[in-house]
Amino acid sequence: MIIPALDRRFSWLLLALLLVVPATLLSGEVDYSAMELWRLMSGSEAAVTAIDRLVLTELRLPRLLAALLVGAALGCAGCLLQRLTANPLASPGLLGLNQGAALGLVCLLLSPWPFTPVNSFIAALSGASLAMALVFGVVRLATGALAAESLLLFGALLSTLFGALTTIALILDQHALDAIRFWLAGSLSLVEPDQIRPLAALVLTGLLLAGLLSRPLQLLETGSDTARGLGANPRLILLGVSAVILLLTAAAVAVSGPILFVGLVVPHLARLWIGEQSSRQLAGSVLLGALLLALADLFVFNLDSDDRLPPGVALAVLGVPWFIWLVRRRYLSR
Amino acid sequence: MVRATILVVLLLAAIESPMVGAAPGPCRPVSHALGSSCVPPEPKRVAVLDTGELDIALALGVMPVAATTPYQVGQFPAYLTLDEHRVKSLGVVQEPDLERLMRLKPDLILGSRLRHGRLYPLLSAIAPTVLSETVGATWAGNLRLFAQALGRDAEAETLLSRIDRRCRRIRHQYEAKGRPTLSVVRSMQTHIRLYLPDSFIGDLLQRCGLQRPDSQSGNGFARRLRSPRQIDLLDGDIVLLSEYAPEKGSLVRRWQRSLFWSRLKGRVYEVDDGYWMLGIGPLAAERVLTDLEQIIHDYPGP
Repeated sequence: MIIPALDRRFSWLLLALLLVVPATLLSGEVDYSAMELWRLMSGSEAAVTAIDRLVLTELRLPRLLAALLVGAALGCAGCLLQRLTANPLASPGLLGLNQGAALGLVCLLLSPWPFTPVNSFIAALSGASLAMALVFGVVRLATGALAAESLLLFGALLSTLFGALTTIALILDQHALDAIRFWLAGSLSLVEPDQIRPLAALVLTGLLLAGLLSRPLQLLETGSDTARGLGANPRLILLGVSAVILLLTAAAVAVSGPILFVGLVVPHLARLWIGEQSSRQLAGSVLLGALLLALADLFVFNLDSDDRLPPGVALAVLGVPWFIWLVRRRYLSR
Repeated sequence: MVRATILVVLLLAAIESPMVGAAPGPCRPVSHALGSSCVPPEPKRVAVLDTGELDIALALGVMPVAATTPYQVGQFPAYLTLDEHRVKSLGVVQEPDLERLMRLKPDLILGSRLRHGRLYPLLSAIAPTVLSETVGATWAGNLRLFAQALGRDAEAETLLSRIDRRCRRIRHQYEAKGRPTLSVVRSMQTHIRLYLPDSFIGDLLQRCGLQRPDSQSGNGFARRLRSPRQIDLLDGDIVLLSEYAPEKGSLVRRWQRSLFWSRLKGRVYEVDDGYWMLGIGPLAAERVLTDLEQIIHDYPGP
């Protein structure tokens, strides 16, 4: 059943997403008018000098795309994980993914391989994947079963271990810290054009799979026994959803570093704003995640032209009070 | 860490002898950035605290007993010929190992107020210490100061006049090529520096009368760039590019891979970071001039 009021909110969200694109491309130090931007985008670049075009195609556009993809991926992964574990505090970082990715990057820095954008993408991705595989392995070993709650506990536990290893490596090797300082804070300033293609491929695949798994996940939410009674395989669903969470989070974190706010808070915002129904919440998390991260990046980029402020920090600083206010208002209206 | 080191040094100083720092016998006063120190007539065991002082000591024919290495590079500059058995490493420039320095029993310490001013009381408790005000653009003045401390003033003047002679020759060659502008670019891990006249390399180019692009003619030591949006500032007829510890990541490599790099019109010459940037002394200057001679010779002209 579709409620008209909620659909209006969906359309607002889509409209805001459409507006954030020209807003990002037109802001900042390089000034070209909307007309010139249109000419640039449509191929005829008569009025715009080459440097403007390069800033647009090599800096602004990749960064905007990265913000949208990373935001969508983290929002979606957060929503899946909260539903999978039935835990409103769950965020993808709790599965060891963020710390695993950081450890992967540090290993690359200590290795003889060069620290190029593509290498760092691969290193963070493999670090996150290995970390999550380890979490699953340890849970299986320690508890003999794969329960969603134990995944969070052991994920958090192993995260502290990976975090400790990363910290010690960074303390002993200052240059490694310099290299990933911005990444650790959750920043898009290091995004390179050649990272966009693999990022887009992984994130779009992940989003598609998330859509396909939404219904089985709903079955699982009714309880393992009920799900089994309805002919579903709870274990398979758990593994499938976890794999999608890994795919989305690892790809996002590899590019931008951990942006905790999106994974933790966006699913709640989507639930409050778009609707409780699972497919709506999932779609809402994707769109809201993309919108909020793009807006946050636009905001910090305009605040500091030297591009030192990480959007992850801005999201937490502005987003947390906003979220508290939102929950309070809802509570009062009940 | 630093505090513990300081404590140990003070303790050791107290135990070993109350007068470690004073030269035995006669000494001559040398006034410097933080006062005046009485140095031995002919220092035999000299410790240097930065690459500039190391270059200067070697240029004046003094092989130090202790020296520091640049942060991230971790070794003495490769362009210098050192007696590896004699010169002991004190660790990185920013945090010289004072315990080790004391054990080496130097009779003269050379450094700068900029880098080691805060350590002056401890340093002068170990041995007479002579500090220049700063490093970089003042390299010629520093050479004269440290030569005075080492009792080799005449050698310093010979070195400087030799450099000036080579400068004049390069200038001649340079004018024949239509006075191309020289852009000095150094790539670090997370930013790129354009060197201005108030730096070692900027001063040397100015000394030789070589022109710099407008983006690099202001006051100051260096200009920092982080975004390739500003790539045009790198341009000059001749772009002299060096990379600091490139194996640890160098921002210019990322710019070179991007389309922005194709905007540069000048000819890019890669130069050695060791003597172009880290050296800051007469030996480095001579090596730079040798490179410049070759580069200007190779430059096809307008």
